[in-house]
Amino acid sequence: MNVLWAYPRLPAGIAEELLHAHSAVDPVQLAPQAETTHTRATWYPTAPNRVAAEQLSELQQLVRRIARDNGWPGALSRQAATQFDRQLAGELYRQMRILPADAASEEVWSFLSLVLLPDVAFWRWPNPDRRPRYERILGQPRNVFRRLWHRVHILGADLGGRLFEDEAVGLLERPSLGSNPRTARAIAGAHLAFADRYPEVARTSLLRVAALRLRRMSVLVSLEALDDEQLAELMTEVFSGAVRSLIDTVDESLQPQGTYGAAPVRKSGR
Amino acid sequence: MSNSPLSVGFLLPATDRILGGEVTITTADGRTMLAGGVVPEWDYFKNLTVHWPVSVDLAALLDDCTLTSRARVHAVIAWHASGTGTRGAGPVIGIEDGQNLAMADIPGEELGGKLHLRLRIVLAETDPAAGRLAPRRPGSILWQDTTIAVLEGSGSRFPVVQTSFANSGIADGRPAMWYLSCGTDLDSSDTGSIRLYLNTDHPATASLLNSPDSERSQVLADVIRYDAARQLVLHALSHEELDLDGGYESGTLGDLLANLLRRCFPLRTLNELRGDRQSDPGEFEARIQAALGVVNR
Repeated sequence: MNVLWAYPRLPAGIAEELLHAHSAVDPVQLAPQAETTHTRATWYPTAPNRVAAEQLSELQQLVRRIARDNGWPGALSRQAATQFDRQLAGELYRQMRILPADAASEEVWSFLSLVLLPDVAFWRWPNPDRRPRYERILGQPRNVFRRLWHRVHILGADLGGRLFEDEAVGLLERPSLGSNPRTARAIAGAHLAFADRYPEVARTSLLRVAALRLRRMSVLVSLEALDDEQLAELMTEVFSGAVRSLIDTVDESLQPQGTYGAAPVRKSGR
Repeated sequence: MSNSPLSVGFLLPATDRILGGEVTITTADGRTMLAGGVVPEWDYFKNLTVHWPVSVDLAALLDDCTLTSRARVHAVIAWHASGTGTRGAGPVIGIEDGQNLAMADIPGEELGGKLHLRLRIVLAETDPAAGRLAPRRPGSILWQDTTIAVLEGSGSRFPVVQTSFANSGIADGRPAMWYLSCGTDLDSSDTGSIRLYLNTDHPATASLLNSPDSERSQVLADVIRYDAARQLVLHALSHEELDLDGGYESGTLGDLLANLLRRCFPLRTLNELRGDRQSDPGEFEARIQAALGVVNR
């Protein structure tokens, strides 16, 4: 059985103070301030397996290597930022082996961003205006590391890596759809298939419209009660409807087939 | 059937066709307790097994929904942990006439906060010979019931954080006394969305933290409590997506904000309240004071 680890937690008040202090510092100068411990850090009280300082150091080295590969400490282009996120997500998930319940603690991710890896965290998401409560650095759901870990935990490395940032956010920040891995993966899989089939449809719009339809439907239909085939058919129906509403290239002679109907068919010659 | 929309578009069974029994939760060390309260000594390392008995008058249920005897009906327990946000479900079981037992094994490492449990009775698949108004979609919810188990904390208060505003930059580091931070995601956990910061630099809040039982501290605590609730009322009115009939799950920010408005202004709609605030903000503030009570001692 694989051991899952509990991680140190940085209390919210201390995190706010470190956020303020680190925000004005260059990433190169933050590197020597990084530590594997903090005097005020706490742990989940009954955790039998606390991550060791050596493991934290390995994690730190891994993240720093990926950061350097993507241009740390230089200015980060949007493309390089995306590349960094994609390379890091799966590696971070595999290396951390954190208890999922522990990963729901804001204080754990604050420790990672502000104590273990401030040099990388502030390079990826600088805070030059010293905004308090900066959600990319404090351990909230959009934290620099937390959102990547969560994406892989729910969607898996493959699906999670193929979604655009705004698509992943649009799915995972809808708790009724994005919090159940089975449902979220079915949605992500259908979305990618339809986005591939209908490249003229704006991907973000497609997911937004489909998610709205699914959320309405989930009041009437228990997605948890569907078997894999039924869930796939439902996704086909929902994404077909979303495509229909977003493009006018649907064959009007299309007739529903099967329980949930068929996908829209493009007019010939397009 | 709880939390159902006014009309679902298909026939539902009469409420007495289905009778849910007492929900039990068993921990991995063999302790069994009734759902609805606190699971004692729970931690991440204790998996839970939920058993939910349900008695069904199947023939009457099918008849109510104009389904035929060939229609199949299923049950499933869906769960949602407020602390982690994770959702899942137990295995789907086929419903038979009489007593049935749904169950779910829930891994402790995915849990935290409050565990929301929901038993759903659903149509398994389309019945081609069913009546015109019968449920047709697989998974159509015919009946559901909910309960909660508290795993961690009381779940009734949001976190309070003590910090130096000068060192953390809140309010530009100036000596404000408190700051209420409230998120906007209506489906997220209420306690995870709201946080009250107390400034340890300010002598009054420092005194409150050091001597909470003094009369002065208790008055200040009342004022802070009132102001936090007031800010939440105003946050609710400003939130464009809030819907008082939105059917938010228990323990979410949407549920908290909707309940707060209903409790303070039981006879007013959301639009009326927004209009009241716009037409006379001062008088509206006075009505919030009256509803919440500023100082209760």
